[in-house]
Amino acid sequence: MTEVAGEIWRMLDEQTRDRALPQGADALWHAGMGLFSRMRLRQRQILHRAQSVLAWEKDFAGLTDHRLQEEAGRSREVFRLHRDKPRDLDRAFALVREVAERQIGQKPFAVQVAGGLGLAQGWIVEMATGEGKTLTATMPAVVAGWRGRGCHIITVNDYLARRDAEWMGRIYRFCGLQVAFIEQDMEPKDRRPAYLADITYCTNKEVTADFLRDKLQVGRLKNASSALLARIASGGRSPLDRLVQRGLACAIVDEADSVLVDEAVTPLIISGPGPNREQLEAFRQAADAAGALDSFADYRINLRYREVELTAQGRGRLAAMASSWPGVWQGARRREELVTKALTAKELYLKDKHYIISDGKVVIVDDFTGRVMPDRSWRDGLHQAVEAKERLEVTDPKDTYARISFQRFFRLYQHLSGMTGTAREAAAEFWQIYGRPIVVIPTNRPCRRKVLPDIVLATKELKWQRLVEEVRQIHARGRPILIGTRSVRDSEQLSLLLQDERLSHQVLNAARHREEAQIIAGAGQPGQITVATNMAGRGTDIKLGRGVADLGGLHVVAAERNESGRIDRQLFGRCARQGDPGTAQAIVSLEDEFVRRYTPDIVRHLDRRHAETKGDLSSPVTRAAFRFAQRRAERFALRQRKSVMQLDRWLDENLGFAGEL
Amino acid sequence: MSVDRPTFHESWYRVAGLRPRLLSEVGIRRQYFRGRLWYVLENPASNQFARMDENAYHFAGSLDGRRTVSEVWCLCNERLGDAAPTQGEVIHLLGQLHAMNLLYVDLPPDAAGLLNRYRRRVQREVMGYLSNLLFLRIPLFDPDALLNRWAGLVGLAYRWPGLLLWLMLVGAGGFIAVSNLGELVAQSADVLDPANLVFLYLSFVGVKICHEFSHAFACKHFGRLNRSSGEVHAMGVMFLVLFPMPYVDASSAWSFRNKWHRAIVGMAGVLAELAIASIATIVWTRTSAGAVHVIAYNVIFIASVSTLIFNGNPLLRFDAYYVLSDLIEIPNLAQRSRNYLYYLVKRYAWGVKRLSNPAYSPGERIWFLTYGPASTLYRIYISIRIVLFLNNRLPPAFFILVPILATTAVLGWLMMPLFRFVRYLATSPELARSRRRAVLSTLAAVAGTTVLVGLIRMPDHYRIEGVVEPAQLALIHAETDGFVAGFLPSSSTASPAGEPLVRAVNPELETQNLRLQAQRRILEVRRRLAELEETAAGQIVAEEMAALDEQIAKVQSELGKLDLMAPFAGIWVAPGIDRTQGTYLKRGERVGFVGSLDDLIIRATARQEIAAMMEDAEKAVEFRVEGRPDETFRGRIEKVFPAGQDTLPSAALSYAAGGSMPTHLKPDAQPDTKAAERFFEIRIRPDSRATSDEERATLLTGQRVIVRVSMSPKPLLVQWGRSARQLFQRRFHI
Repeated sequence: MTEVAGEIWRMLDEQTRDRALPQGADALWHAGMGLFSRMRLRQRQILHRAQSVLAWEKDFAGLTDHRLQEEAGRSREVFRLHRDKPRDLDRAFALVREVAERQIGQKPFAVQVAGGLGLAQGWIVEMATGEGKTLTATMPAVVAGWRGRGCHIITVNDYLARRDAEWMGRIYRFCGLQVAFIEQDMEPKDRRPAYLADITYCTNKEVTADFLRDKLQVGRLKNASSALLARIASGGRSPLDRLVQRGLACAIVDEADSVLVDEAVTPLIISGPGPNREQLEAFRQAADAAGALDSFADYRINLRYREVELTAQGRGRLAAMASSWPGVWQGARRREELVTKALTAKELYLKDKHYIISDGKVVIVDDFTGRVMPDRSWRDGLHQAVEAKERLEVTDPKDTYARISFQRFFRLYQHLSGMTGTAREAAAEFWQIYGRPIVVIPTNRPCRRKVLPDIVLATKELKWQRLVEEVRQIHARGRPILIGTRSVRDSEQLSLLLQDERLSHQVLNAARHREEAQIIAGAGQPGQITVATNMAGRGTDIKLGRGVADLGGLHVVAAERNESGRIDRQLFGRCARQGDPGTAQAIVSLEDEFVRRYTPDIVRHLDRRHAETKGDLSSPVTRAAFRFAQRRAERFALRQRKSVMQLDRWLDENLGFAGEL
Repeated sequence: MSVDRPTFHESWYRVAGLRPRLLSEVGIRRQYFRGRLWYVLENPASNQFARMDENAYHFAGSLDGRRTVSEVWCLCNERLGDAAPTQGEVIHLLGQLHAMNLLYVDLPPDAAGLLNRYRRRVQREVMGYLSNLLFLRIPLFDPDALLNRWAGLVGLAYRWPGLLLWLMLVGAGGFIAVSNLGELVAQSADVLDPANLVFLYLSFVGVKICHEFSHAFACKHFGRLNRSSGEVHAMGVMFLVLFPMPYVDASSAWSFRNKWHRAIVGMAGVLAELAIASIATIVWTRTSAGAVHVIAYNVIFIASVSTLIFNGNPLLRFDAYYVLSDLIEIPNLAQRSRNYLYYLVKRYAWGVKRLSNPAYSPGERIWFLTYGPASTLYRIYISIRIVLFLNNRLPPAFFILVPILATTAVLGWLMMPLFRFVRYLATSPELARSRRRAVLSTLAAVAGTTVLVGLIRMPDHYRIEGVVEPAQLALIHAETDGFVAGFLPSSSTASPAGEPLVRAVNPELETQNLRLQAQRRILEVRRRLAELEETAAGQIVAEEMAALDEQIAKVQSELGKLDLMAPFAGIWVAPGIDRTQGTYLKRGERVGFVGSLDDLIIRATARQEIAAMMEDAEKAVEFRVEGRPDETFRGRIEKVFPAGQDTLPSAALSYAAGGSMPTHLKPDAQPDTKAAERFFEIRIRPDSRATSDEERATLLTGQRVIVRVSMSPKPLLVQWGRSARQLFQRRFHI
């Protein structure tokens, strides 16, 4: 029997019920407070305080390492006992600054200190790409570690978790803290000590999954006392021994907008097989039936909501078709549901866009990042429907054991803060859902990025031509280019076009993080051409090669506007970091999927107007149309996230008897 | 995915492994509602009910605490096929059962959730009270033991003999009431007399106590018949329009199997009130003035008014509503009616897809369509009437209450729903796909109404009352004393050349005449003699004769005046003339009058607020004779006499005589012609064109007419605003 750490007991007594979102007049008040709090001059206040941190510098600069460590120990006691005063925080930050310089040779700038202070306050801190967010996080992380409840630093992928833990580890260890990281294929027995460390670097998926697995272990033991009773009753072999986490005290989320906003409603699901042979056959039959039905006459497709609906005629044809089929086909509701699903798979889930086939298996491609997700599968039989459509072996549908959305999970942290390159656009959401205000930290050196106006073209084909043309022109001058695409398919198509032009280039589609990070890091070398899906290599800086700055720095081209302006801004943020020069431009076409989806009427109108000109439509009006589509998409997404939250709440209230998650 | 009822639900895992069962004390009844089988689950501890259809019950009933939810669901799917509840529906059902505390799960109770729900329920109740100050309820004590003690005895009233007795009583009461209707109505003016208010209120409380106990005892009595406990655990005070009155919670009657029993319990209060009203009517007729008489009258008034306006009226959510919704087997009629109307709007006006229709059958649809609008209109009407009533009757000391009540009513029934509606339009996920259409069509409707009400000019009319009078009028007075010998019947036409209006005789005058004639003859003889004898004497006689002639002429003219002639052609009006035959008419006594026929005029009176707008009025008016609404006459306004008059042209126009002008009541309760406030007089001359022969026949002097004055057309909003301002002005003297 292993020792159950005190922290684990604490976790059992933790309030894991989600706090309700305010409603009615409360919601108005809350929103009003949000507006009010946005008006507060956080930036000035925090920069001012950062100066007082810097003022401590000389107190520590003269100390020997040993004395510095002693100072750290003393600080630790103060924070552990929660006897700290604002002054202690300033002092601790100054101390970490000193340690950082001695251990890794980087001393946080004033803006980084300001960012760290913001994190310590529980704010969402906006810092431009390349401003050193990793280093920024160390200061509040050390303080949180000293408090003794653990601190999770959430990164977007395993590679970054490991890199940052190793890179910054020396600072923490010098301050008397243990640091660890979690990787995807770690065993539970390794995870446990990692979570018990003072500071744990992990991805949002891992930390959430571990949380869910722990919840499953604990089962329906509601609180510490019932867990204790169960432990006594079972003679010491309690599920508690298999727990890995020790409660959710403090989290610093890197790329907070992608974790807390974009992926917020993606549920994390722990599932297991739920075999049902009869149903597997039904999926195949459904795929056959779907093949026999005609678009429009038998069913209609709604692009905006990604739905398929059977018409009355379709229903009739289906009933006739299925009259001799067994079991589930006899009930109209089940039958139509199965076929609707098969039609959805047929019409709306496209090979190489939404999924790829590797080793006879359907592998999902993430819509946002363009990354392949080998261990993910669609829910409610959609995955099976896609498999049946591709005539692959239909896998068993899975049974859900536990499920939580990131949105809900991160709301459980007692102390939550985040950093991102783009927070401004999502300020309202950070406030409404997480109750976190944002603060924008200025860049250390003035930004020299030039964002060129969008080029709007009539068709996709024109767009590709123009893109290759642009690449060739800029490449001729020796400037490095980064082209961001939205999907793996697009990046491959572009790659082919570039090959035809004999332009050598690198393609990234976010499959292997380590290599990608290296490629991305090299993307600033003179004459480099890099084609990447939007998210590829996030968290890694593109450093400019020798002489590139004189040529004008990195040029970033977005091959399509994204559904959220934030993501565009992130992509553009890849260039002109830390005072370097750089340019960015988006080349878009009226055939891009997202404008078709969100503003079909406007697109149709523009199309008609420019039908004869055929070509460059760039004008303030067309650009505005794209911005409008983007705004609409953002609103739509926010509404969807909120409705998920409301559904969760309803379930919580009404299924309270069934446990919490 | 676009499927109406998706089989799977992503949260299924949370309930799949549970082994819940219904609480053992839950009572379950099969009940048919409009031919559909429903199961009603009752938690006796909390008096909470849940209704579920056959398929849902199939599921809930199969939960036995041994099988898991998932197993039961699979069973249902096998047995019921398409009709089986989907996973989402099961989750919803379990959630509902849990929320009503009908479900037992072998898990530690979710105390936080329970408390949360409790807190929210209390909060909602308190909010309900506050937002509905007009109908506030405060529970005070538990009358169950008291009722049990007396139920046996009082219960007798709810058996057949009781019913017979009741029928007889109400029949008698009703008969008496109908036969004394005039008196009953006449006395209603005194009911709100300040001196009577205390009596009124005490009677009110008395009647309501009987009402509530009648419910409670009926509930007990039929509870025994239905082998149900018929428990009554709450009794308290309800503030109906700020008047405290008792109430009893007899909702356990819902579990009675027999719907007529339920209906009787529901109507028991009204039945009792009718009985009391009948007794009071009998008492009222047997007594004359005095405290008993007054109280009896109050009881009649209260019992009838409260029955007609509140309890007996299904349009308000009082007794009759619940009975109605039970009898037509549509539980929750008002709510569902509203939902159905919303459903129609959402589905047809806004194009929201995949809505479930709240109506299960065509019959329900008709009920929903009629009940919802009717009850809403009635409720608004009653609220306005209550506020206006208080506005007029409340003593000035309490007057501050009126604006408070009006404000709460406006807030609760107008602003809150409006706010909720706007929020719904803006945020409801249900509208996610048709929000644009919903918003646009709502805006269009609002714009349409605004144009209709605020911009389009509508005819604007005022009605004032007047009397028809002849333009020329001659009062006929007796010119000489005399006995009436003959007369022209009243209302006949008279002309100067025709028969005299009154013929009278004066024997004294005639005798005098004869005597004078005789004297003259003597003088004549004397004159002739004198002519023969002495001329000088003749001179004297001639002078005497002249004097005598003068006398004779005078008397004869007096005699001539005995017959009264019409001064001009017209109608002879002398109501009392029939009784004057042979009576003595003194000189100067008024006999009647002659009014001109072709020349009629209407004298209408207008109160200041109307008269102020006469400037704006069109000269041409229409009017109708009271009692004959089918014929319209036309006329022109001839002259408006400014304010300053306070004597009405006719008593017929006074409030007491059924007219519209308030007058001071004289102590002898005779209609007065002295108006309470000064008024404007408007003279209207009927169009000569219109007074053709047949019409003239109907337009008679002394008739009361209602004149419709047309103003220049104005938008309705302006018209309403003016009325509202005038109302406030009158009350607040602003």
